[in-house]
Amino acid sequence: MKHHLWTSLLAFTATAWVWGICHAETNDLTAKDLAGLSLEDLMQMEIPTVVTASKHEQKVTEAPASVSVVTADEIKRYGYRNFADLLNAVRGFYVTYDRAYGFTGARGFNRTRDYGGRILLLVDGHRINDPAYGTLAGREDFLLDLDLIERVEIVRGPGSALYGDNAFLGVINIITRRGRDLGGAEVAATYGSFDTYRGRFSYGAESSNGVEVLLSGSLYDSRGDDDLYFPDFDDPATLNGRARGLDDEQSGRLFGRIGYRGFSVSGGWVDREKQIPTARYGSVFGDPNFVAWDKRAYGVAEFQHTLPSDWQIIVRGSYDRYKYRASYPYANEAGATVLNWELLDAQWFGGEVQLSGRIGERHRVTLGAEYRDLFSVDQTYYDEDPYNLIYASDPDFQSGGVFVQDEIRILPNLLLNVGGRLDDYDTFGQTVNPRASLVYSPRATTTLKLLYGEAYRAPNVNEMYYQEGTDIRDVNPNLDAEEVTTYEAVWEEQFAPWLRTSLTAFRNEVSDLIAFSPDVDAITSFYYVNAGEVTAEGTEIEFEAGRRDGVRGRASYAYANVESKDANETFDNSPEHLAKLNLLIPLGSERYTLGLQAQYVSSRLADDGSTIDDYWLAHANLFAQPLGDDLELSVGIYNLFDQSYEDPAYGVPNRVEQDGRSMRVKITKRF
Amino acid sequence: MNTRLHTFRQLTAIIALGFACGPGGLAIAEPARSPDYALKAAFLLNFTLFADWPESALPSDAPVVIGVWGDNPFGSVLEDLAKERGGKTRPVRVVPIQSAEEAKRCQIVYLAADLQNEQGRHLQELAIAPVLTVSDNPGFLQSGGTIRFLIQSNKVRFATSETITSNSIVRLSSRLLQLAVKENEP
Repeated sequence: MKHHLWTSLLAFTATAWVWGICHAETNDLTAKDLAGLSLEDLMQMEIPTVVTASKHEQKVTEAPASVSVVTADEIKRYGYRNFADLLNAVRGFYVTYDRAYGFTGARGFNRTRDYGGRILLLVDGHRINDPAYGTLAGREDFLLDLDLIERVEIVRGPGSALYGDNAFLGVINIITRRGRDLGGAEVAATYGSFDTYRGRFSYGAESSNGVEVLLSGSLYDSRGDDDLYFPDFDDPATLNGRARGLDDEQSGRLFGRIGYRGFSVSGGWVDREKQIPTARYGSVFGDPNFVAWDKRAYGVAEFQHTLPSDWQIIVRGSYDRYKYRASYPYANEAGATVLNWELLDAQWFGGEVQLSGRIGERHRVTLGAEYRDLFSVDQTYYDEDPYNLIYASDPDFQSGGVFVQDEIRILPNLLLNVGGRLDDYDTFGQTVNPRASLVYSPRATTTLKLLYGEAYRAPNVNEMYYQEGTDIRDVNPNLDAEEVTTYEAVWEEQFAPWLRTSLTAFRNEVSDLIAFSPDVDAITSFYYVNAGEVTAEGTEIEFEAGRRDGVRGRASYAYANVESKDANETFDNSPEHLAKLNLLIPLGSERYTLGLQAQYVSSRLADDGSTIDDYWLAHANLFAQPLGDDLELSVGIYNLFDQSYEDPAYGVPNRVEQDGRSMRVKITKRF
Repeated sequence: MNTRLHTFRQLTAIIALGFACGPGGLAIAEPARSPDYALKAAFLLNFTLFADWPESALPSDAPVVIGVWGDNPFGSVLEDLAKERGGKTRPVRVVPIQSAEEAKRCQIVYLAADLQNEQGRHLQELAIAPVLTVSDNPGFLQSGGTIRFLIQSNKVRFATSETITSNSIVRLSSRLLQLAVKENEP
């Protein structure tokens, strides 16, 4: 059917191959290359490690999980525009966009109306998911400019044994660039399709007395797709389903960090405004006043110290704020449009202490405690004119947890990792989540991992308070946490120096799933309940290869099958098959690279049980440093073959048209 | 849907085959246990440039012998590196060893992970030998080893024993000592 896509991909592969033949001698990565390097050179070379899986740095092969790492270099060379782009290229992940928010899913879980709270997002170890919706905000409401990311660690599987809430299907930790990495000023300007502009200014430095500073700010403005079609509204009374000029988006961001020895203070702020073209929640189609504003801000003070006994201590204090505001244009009985406002302002303090060190030569122990005081969740819901206060409240919530983990080296090639965490919430009570893993390396090139873990997701404020179609709130303060038990086996094999593979099989048993269920008394009214037991099983396979001439890439396939105990329940937005291909081709040298991506998402159900078609996407990005390291150019074409595709969404419309072919040009200059 | 998946598998196979069989693709060598060991092999070779052995232990025309004691994590990388260097600098020979007696005939001894339990005893046996001992094992420096590899901020680093003095039998250059880091730093 889409034969031209395949022909083109094969042509790209062939082209890459021809380049390989022409340039096979330019970049030899074997012993020959290493032999010429000095100690200083060797100390600059990076190896695959991960901090997030066990809360201390370890080799990816020894981590008690299946791990992916995305580096700053890949972000530049593949031309990722936002965090959703980055995650869509990662094995087993998919981000769904309803033209208001992006929702991140993995392993078959990304139900519409779920807000993606089953994956924990950390920035430099600080929790970003808000307690109001639990969202992993990954588009323009994302706290960071992608350019400030040094590396992203994606750890699959249950992480509640160390991290508590939200670490249900995985933990994503973003490690930001440091002042010394910038070593001066950096300016970036971007122009793209849909009248999209972005500008960024960053400054970073390390002074001779060891004080390190990074400051960065950026602005974004996009007109969006100004002609979107929604078949559900294809009626002369609703503009024939055409939403024109209703996809506007603006955002601004600030990020800063100052550090001296073990002390650091860092903070981020994002303010995003998005016009919503979908007339969701029964609002008036075509009204430009359906707009959502999201503000997130945080500040963290951190102290890290290594005690004389070689034990490391980390103490962290933080303040976070999340503000949400949305205006919904509704038609009243007289036919006039009334603006209905929904406001939420959540603020919380957090405190955390963590100790990590060795006991004897076999044990590496990590223990810690965390406390969170969500001291204000100001919620207001009213009609503007005539003014009518529908609901207002300002509750507060507290929670705390303690955790311990022991990594025991039973044999040089056999590692046992056991741990657990106890959390106590003033809402639903206590939850204990253990984790155990065995990592065994029978041969130099083989790693086998057996993992067992439990994790939970606490009900968020929205789930405890929301009831659709009525003015009643505070409907379900006694909602329980949803829980998952995961069994996973991982086989990682280095078949050759140039080929690494990973094969994963998992089973997730979810109970007390928090789901949107019809009220028995009033079928038009919906609220959240602990409903349903769900089992997800799947496998993932990934190939990572790199040729001596620098051509490198990875290909992955993920299968997930989710079955609900209640056969009548539709498990929506759960594609069975995800396939990804990332290929990076140096054009003569590393100064010029072509980054190619292909992604496949199989068909999935919409919330009404209808089918959303499968799709293939291809992206290409040309990256160049024509005048040395201080100037970078990037030209990307996204959705190269202009595929028409949709993402599922909650309610009406339950499918949302996505962007066709688009381009982006970016220039980065360092001073 | 299935035809597309089928095509995806075919494409994957073509790409894998392409990577494997074409020029510039295959490297015919036994790989190191993980990428960090290829780097550590290069570190070991570099250490030969920053250490001085007494003339009695290493005559000026003799090659530097690196012994790998225990389960070799370097694959063939260490040998390959030693061959690549030939000519420019003092030749290096890599040998597998199994006993303290064999270890004493080497200039550098890498103690592998499977010997961690016995490392105290082995290091004691080498205490007065002119041998530079290197390992990845925890507790290696405390047990009397000289250099321990570490991984910090996804880079390979090395720490040295605090008891190294100018009258140690194998003398390390000041440059090497400057590049060394402390164990367990963030």
